[in-house]
Amino acid sequence: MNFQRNSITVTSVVLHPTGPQNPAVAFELTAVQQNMGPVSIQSSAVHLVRVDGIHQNAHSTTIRFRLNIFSSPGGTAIVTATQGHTSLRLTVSVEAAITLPDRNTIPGAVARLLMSEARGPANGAYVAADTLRAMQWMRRVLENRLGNDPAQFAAPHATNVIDIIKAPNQFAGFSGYPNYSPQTRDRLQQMLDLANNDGDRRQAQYREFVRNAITVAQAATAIRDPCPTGLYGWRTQGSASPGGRFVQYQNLTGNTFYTLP
Amino acid sequence: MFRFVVSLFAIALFSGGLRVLPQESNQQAFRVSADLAFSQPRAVLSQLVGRKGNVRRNNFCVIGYQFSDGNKSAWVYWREGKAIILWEPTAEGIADLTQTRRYLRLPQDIVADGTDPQGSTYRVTRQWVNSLISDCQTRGEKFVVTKRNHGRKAPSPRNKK
Repeated sequence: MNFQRNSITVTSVVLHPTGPQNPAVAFELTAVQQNMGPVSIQSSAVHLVRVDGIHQNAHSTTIRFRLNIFSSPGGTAIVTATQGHTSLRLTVSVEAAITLPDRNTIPGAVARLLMSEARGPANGAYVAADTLRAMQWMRRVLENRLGNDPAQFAAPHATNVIDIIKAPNQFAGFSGYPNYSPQTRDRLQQMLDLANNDGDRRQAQYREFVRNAITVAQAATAIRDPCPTGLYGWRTQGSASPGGRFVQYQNLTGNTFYTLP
Repeated sequence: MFRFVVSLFAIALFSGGLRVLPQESNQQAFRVSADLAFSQPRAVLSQLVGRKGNVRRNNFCVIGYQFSDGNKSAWVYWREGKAIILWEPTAEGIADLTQTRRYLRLPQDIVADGTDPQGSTYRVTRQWVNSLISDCQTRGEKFVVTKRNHGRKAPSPRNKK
């Protein structure tokens, strides 16, 4: 017998709590012997992992079932399939769902902005390391704007990075932060849903993307400025300059970064 | 509002000398329908109209650009939707333009005449809009997409069989 998920044999999996956006995860038990008696599939920790929906077609050597995952903070359960004297174990590690920092905090605001502005896994040219670097440059832009006469970036009384982010017309969808545009809200929610959806094969990429945004947003040490004159803005590549004073620095992941000479 | 967008369109048509701004002079235009990374443009636009369209007949102009670093993206000008939308290559399936990183609303996201974007990461100048539309008319692709079931009343529950 073998445990399979998405037609791939597995002996251990990492799963996240089942919820409205994260349905129970489908598995198969394959190569079941038809003349060896009934098969049982049981979890060692039903408070964490519950086996559900067990189904076997007549004359089939495959049994389908689902795993329901419960609650944070997580833990490990063993799912065991037994037929006669044969048994097979599947180790299920349960991770907490990924969530963004409180939106009223600076890391919460920055993480949301980075997710909204950086090239994400939906893009066919997505490379996690490049997007991580772009996120770091964006964070640098925010810090530089705060530290160098924020009035020139439409934030005359800025005392923190949130004031920079919600400056009028500076960052699409964020002018009314902590409220943001419905389109931005939907995009961010979709990314989070994918990051927490164990049934979606894009999950790992989205989880890494969201984690990178949170890591950059929470970084306590200053991110090194790659530009000798400092980064002060970015634009979608090919959408012209953010203004006459800005000078192009470099393109990175579909954004053009700018400095002020 | 519609008059404003139409006038932008007209300005663009009659200003053949306008081109994209100098800093993008190293970009090359391409037709999205000939590029696998931008698959099924009509289906992409139909999906957009289905989700955000308010009129039956919708006119689009789409132009792709490839940059010197190899990156590709396309701009979608939607006349009736009063928008210019960024279309980036998709990892799989067809693009969902309602989830794009840049959805420029016309005219709200155009800066006032004679000013510049003042550091904005997304607002554009009228000159850029006109140049883009002009370039699209010349080298891009046009699509007309009809919104399905537009104006039809949903059947009342009593009539359902």
